[in-house]
Amino acid sequence: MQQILQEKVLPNITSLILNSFSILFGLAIMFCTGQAEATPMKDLIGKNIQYTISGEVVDSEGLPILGINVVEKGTSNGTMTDIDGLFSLEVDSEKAILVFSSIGFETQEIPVEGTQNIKVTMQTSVAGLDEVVVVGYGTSTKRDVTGAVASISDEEFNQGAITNPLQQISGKAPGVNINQVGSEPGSTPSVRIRGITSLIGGNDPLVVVNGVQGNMDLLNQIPPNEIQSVDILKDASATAVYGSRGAPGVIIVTTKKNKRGTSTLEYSSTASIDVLSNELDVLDANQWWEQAQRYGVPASANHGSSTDWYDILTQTGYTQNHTISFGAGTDTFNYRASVSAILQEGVVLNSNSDKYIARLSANQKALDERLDITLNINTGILETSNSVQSIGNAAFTSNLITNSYFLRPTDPVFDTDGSYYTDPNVFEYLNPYAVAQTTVDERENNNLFVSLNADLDVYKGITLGWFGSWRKTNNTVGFFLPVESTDANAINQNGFANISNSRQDEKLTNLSLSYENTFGEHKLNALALYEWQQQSYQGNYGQARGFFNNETTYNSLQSGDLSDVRSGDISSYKNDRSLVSFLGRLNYTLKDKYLLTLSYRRDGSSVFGENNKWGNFPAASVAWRIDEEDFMQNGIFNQLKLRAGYGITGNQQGLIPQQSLSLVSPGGITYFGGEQIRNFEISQNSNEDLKWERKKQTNIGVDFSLIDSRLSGSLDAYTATTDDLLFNYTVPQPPFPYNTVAANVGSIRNRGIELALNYDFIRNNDVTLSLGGNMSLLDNEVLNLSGSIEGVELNTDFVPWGTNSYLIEGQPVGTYSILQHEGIDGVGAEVVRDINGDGTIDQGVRSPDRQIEGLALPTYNFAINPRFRYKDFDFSMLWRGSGGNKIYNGLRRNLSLMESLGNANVLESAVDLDLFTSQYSSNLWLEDGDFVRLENVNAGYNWQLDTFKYIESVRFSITGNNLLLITDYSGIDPEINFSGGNGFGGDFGIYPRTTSVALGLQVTFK
Amino acid sequence: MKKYYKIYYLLFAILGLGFISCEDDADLTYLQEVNFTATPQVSANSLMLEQEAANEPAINISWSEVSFPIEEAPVNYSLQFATPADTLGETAWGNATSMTAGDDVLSKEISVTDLNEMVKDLGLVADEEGTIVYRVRAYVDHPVFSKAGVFQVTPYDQVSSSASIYVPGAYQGWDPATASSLKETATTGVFEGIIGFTDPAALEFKFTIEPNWNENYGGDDNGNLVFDGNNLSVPSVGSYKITVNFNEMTWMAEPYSWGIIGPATPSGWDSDTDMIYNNEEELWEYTGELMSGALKFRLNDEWTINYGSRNSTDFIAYLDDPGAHDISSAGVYRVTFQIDEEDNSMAYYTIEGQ
Amino acid sequence: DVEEQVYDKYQADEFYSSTEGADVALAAVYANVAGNWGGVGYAGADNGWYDLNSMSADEQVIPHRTDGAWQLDFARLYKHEWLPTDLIVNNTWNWLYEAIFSANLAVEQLETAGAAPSKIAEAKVLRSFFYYLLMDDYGNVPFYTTNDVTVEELPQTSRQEVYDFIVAELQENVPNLSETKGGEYYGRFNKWAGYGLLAKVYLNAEVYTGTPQWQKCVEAIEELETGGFSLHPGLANEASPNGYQYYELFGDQLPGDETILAMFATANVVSRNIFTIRSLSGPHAMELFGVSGWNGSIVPQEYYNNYEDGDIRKEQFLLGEQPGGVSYSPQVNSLDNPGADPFAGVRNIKFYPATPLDGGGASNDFPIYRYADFMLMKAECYIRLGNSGAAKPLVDAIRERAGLSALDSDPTLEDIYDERGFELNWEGHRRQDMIRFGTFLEANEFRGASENHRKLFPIPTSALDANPNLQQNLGY
Repeated sequence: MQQILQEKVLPNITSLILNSFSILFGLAIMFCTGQAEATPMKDLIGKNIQYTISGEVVDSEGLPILGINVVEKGTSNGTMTDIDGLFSLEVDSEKAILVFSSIGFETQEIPVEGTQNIKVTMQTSVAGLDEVVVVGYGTSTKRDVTGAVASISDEEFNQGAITNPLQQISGKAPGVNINQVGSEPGSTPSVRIRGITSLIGGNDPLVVVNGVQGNMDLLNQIPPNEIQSVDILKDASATAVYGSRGAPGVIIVTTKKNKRGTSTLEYSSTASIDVLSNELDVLDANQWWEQAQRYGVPASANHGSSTDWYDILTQTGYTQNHTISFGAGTDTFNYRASVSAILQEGVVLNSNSDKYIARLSANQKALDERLDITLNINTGILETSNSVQSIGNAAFTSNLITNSYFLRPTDPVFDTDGSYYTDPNVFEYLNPYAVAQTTVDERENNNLFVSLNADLDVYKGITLGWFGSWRKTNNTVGFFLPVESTDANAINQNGFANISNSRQDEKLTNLSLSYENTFGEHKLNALALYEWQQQSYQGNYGQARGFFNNETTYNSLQSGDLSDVRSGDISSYKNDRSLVSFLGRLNYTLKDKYLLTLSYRRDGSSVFGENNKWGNFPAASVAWRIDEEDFMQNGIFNQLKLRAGYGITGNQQGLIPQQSLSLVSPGGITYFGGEQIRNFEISQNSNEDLKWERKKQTNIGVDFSLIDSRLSGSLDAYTATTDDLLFNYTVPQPPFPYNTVAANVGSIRNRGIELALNYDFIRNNDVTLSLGGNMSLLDNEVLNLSGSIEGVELNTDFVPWGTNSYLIEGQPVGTYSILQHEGIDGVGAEVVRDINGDGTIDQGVRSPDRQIEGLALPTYNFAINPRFRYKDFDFSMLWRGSGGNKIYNGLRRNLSLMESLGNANVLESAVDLDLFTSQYSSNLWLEDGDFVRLENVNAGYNWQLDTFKYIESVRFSITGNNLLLITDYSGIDPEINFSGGNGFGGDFGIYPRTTSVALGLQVTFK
Repeated sequence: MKKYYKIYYLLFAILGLGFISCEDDADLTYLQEVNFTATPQVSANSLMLEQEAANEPAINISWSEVSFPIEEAPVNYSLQFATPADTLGETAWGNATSMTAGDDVLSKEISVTDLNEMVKDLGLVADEEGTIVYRVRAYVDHPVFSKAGVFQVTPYDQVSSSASIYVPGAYQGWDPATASSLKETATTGVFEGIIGFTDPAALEFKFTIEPNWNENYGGDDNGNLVFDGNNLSVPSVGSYKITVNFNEMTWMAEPYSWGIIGPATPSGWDSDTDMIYNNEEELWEYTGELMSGALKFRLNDEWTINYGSRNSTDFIAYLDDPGAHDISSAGVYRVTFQIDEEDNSMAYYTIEGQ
Repeated sequence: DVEEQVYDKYQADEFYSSTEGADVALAAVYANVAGNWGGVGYAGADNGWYDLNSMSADEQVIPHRTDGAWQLDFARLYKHEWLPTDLIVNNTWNWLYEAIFSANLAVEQLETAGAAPSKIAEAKVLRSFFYYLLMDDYGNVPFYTTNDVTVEELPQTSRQEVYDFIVAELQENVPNLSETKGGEYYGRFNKWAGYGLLAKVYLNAEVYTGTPQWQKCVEAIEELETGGFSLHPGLANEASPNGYQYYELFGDQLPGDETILAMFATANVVSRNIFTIRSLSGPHAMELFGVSGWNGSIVPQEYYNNYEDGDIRKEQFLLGEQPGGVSYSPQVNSLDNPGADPFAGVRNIKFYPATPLDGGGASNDFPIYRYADFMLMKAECYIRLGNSGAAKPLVDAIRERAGLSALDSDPTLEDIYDERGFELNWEGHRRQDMIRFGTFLEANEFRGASENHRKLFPIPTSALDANPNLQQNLGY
């Protein structure tokens, strides 16, 4: 295997890793020797002397804990802490050892060693069974959960230069794949929970932030530092309560609150330096000229310079993240407010992103604490400058930085007169430096949401709830591409500028009634809920060209050449979707051992055909706490719970509104009746039968912990089948005017196994050493794609999905069916295998000359997370990997054909390959996508400053991100788009991924 | 002590990393300046062109070498010529005429005709002195121009440069409008064509430039051509290849004939029977007795160039083909013969009973 | 309640039920004729009907070049190696069926709205035009005239039946078309264009059905001639494109004396014309028009060599040294790998770019039908009917307009074939002509004789995949 050690940081990283290991081991050894010395010796004298030991017991947040048992080891002599966490105990030796214990906390032993006053911090136990788990429309505890739910609290979050909450939980939960492609400022990772279950879209999980439901972009609005916990609902029995929107899984984010009796002010910041971790090796000027001469490229293609295009387009980036938060809590009121700034300067010239978020959360109790009202206000501003995403000539369009690979190293950046150089002999020559310097691409995104929640305790366990939220998002994109950019399109139009504005408006309200009670061995919790949502989308766009000069960029469209207005220059749109839902849920527990959850949701959505707007989504799950059984009381298990669930969910979010209708829209200008007039056309095939896509999922799981709860984990197996798949299917033309129509046909199945494990090697007050890890295996299969629409038997196998990858019945989504490279013929052209021997190479989608070869989606994912703490010092690592997939390296193909030497550069590897030309995209470019990444290494030191007047504690930390990548993949990074949209699985050039080192500081004021 | 040391070490390592990554940006490169070091030279500043000296050199322009960054690549030089008015303003040199000099060539000689034709194309008037501006273009990967120079030149009026001339004569009633023509050969001023003379009383002819008598040429007493000279003639009936050379003012007529040969013809395999050139239809013909038997075609009584048929049905004969056309029965026939203009390995013929 | 609200589009049934809507439906059919990206339209842009019918003939091709430029699809067309999966084959099919859908829609809407008979006739003639193009290229094709059919009700109809439909439909509707020339009817089927279409169908009847209809073709042309057409002058004129008035026939707005049916184009607004920009090399076009050329189409050497010197139609070809420092050589060595020299091949500026223009195309309108074509058709029919004497003045008129002398003797079919080549090259007629004259399958410099099945294009694979009832054309 080839190891890509990120070049520029190699020496330091090696030392960093070695040092961190030696520290880890060194400290562990010191601890052990210290331990040996601390062995108590029998005192022969002091039996009569009595010592009084008093002290305070607090939790990890420094709050006092009531009811901790304090016992002198080896005796029955003990006491309990009071409401202020204080205790006092008489012992008979200064060598005594005190044992502190309580359910939900790690037991600790503290030697007295002559101290009179002890402060003990209790750690919540990892197998904390009463850990609160947030589920849909309510909360539960870990021991009561019957579905597949992953819960990650803020202590477990990844650290470092975090710009998006998802980066904090990457690698933390099995079956939850967080996929960040490159490190473009402002770009967000994608998440897939248990694979791809829908074809038309709608694979993004629902995000719920303090009750507000939204798409993934809602996460952009949450300051990462202010998150308390993230809970992820994975199986249908858990997600069905969210009905249609929950099908792809649900991510529930809970933000921090201030507890009673606290008043806090905190400042935290991280700053990182981001460098390129990897780049492709293209030929330098001498190598290029040597190869060019081999291939008879005329000297007229050599402009005699020596330019490192990639280098001049890249720089060292940085990321900063600052948050100030404050809050307070009393018995009836608490609030928390924060302001954050997240600033990023990308590694590619002129790409940067600034994000500002302010939030306020307030909670008031009234009516003798029967009424509980919470208000959340959150506003965010995101300003981004992008490096151009899609540019280049018709043959290969990619992002700007990828274009730099194609430039001949002998081309100068500037002409002799200082203008940007272009070569007239090259068709649509593009100077990427000119683009980077002259393009204006400014985006602004404003976000505001407000939610109000009121719960009224009506009578004996009956609660009435009301929730309302309203979210508004405004986007503005201003774009200006002047002639100087050298872009062909800009030259043709004499420079052009455009502005696009879009607005989203999402309203949600629900009304609920819940009942909770316990009758002896029976525990009951029931919920009924009505919900209404509306999302509306609006926007407009204006464009002009031929500006007098470049001063005004896109800010004065009226200064363009108004005699040259083209169709598409002006547009606006509006559409919306509304959803109405009814939900009933029942939780029942018998003898604290047998648990049952039933739920039923009925959703109506406006986007479907007239007769198919409503869908019903039932779910049921059971659990058995085996550890509670009598026969288990002496077993090795501290905890053992069996879970099973089944549920149906629907999908409508992926479907663009208005698909079921036959609509007429303007189609530019046409010439008729002697004049140029507006043209209208039927813009889509309509389908009145459009209906809900349904996903049926079964999940079986077990949660366990043993060996003193040192080893704990959970194992889940599931199978999920999506029927009535929504997709733009191919239909015959004629009679359809277009060759695709959105319809419900076919089905797809995902099966998987997920395992999470944690083992604590050392666990005491001073030292913890533990190893956590998780892995998931995914098996995806397109069960069927056929069916009929309007009496048309669809013949929809082999649907193109990514480059060379398809939907094929009986195969996973994105299975490669690809021509087989055979060799290179005498004229240097690629030869592929004529599998059916008919003398021609059929390149059609169903060609018999294609062969099935792997798939685009990883089949396994894993993460390993060692953690170590010694007193106030902590250290952790996260290794993450995935694989089983193949990547079609389209960029390598485009950089490997020697025929392009005349007007482009090629990879160094192309020289060995020596392929002159190819008309195929064969498996020569298909590569394994397996990789392991050292995603995160973090070391921190917490400093309790009891003696300072204003400062309570300080934390310093240093984090390295993406320090090491082990892979066979020859491209920049094997982690490309796995989200399942169009073109996925292929590498056509990505924004480079960075390696970064971040320093962090957190100050808590008194 | 020890453990702190380790932690500091770690911090230093990380700070070091920060410095390493702050490296200077790579150079922003410029296209290298390339220039002519001197103004090009002309062999004469003022020229009077004469048609008599048409093929002599008129002027020699030379320049200094230009060196481009890619030293191993040949530098391609060419010249541009323009009138002074065309070297100013937005579209300067827009109507210039170019002339290639070649790779790594540092001078260019231009003949009188070439220069004459060029400057007249640029708008100079015959017999009047005019100014021509010129400059040199050097090219490897981008063009570089020298400073411009000028010279004076007086062009002349080219006599005859039509692509064909006409041969009115007794054989067709002395009418230039319907006369056979001679086509210009690869050499400017040299014309060539075939004419058949059938009437022993009509062997005289002259040459005209246009299909009218305005500009006609005949002979002088030395056998050369002169304007409006005496009638010319061929010695006897037959087909002739007639060549006229206006550069030297000479002409000649060589007997040129396709013949038929073989048992079908009057003299068997022993000798040809000549065909005569039909000036109107532009083909060779023979009308007369044929026996039954083989018939082939050959040029100028030699086997060097001969055509034979592969069968007697297609009426196509092929160069050097061993076959022959078989006349099945004796009789009077008209035979015509015409070589394919594109592909001279084939010829079309007809044989029709009369 | 979860009813769907539509704010920014019109619901189809409401939209078309108004009178204006019906007119718009007719205009929308014409919008399909305009050439645009993605192979849509009759001519003017890439990868569609025009390329399919021009590059499979002998008049132009885009070679794959040694600098890696240009995919092999065009070379495959020229070498008669096109595949059912080829983009251009597919685009043309999809375009024609989109057009037929909109024509069906227009007929339906116009009838529902009780529109003027001439308008209904116009929509029907347009539909026949598309069916004629479809049947000409693909042979037996799915046939339908109302849009609410299912696949079962959509049989693949034989070429003969489609032919019969077209003839019947035209005979019935052409007489009802408007007699207006130009103005409101510029770019539309008036009566004369309708007879032109009918004449085209009859001209190729033997190819389509096995039964020739030369006399009927003559009669249709005679009907057309009552519209009063004449040859546009061919005189030298500095102000005209390429220096001759002749080239105004391919300019911005086409002259009404000769043009019978034009396709309107104004770059970046309606349609475009790429033919010159696609042909010239980058620096050359930059020098001439200020936009970079694509260095694409060339004219095969043999085709170019057929032109006589002195023919003003030869002015459209460029060879040798050009402004911008490029020089074109006539000989193209290779159409596919290893590729041709970037500057090999004769270039063409018949459609000398009319403004507005940019790197994406120019504003020349495109002559779908012009009188010269029909004169030659008539001459051809005369000869085929054994009356070559009547053909001579027609051919001579065209030759004389081109600056050539009259023929020495009565024209032969070869003369017609050649003259059509000289006069109508790059206007999309050549494949049809070659098939009719039996030269389509002959070997050329880049391939041997091709097989008989190449006279039809294959039904695109995607269409077969989507509709298993379709029968692929024989030989594919």
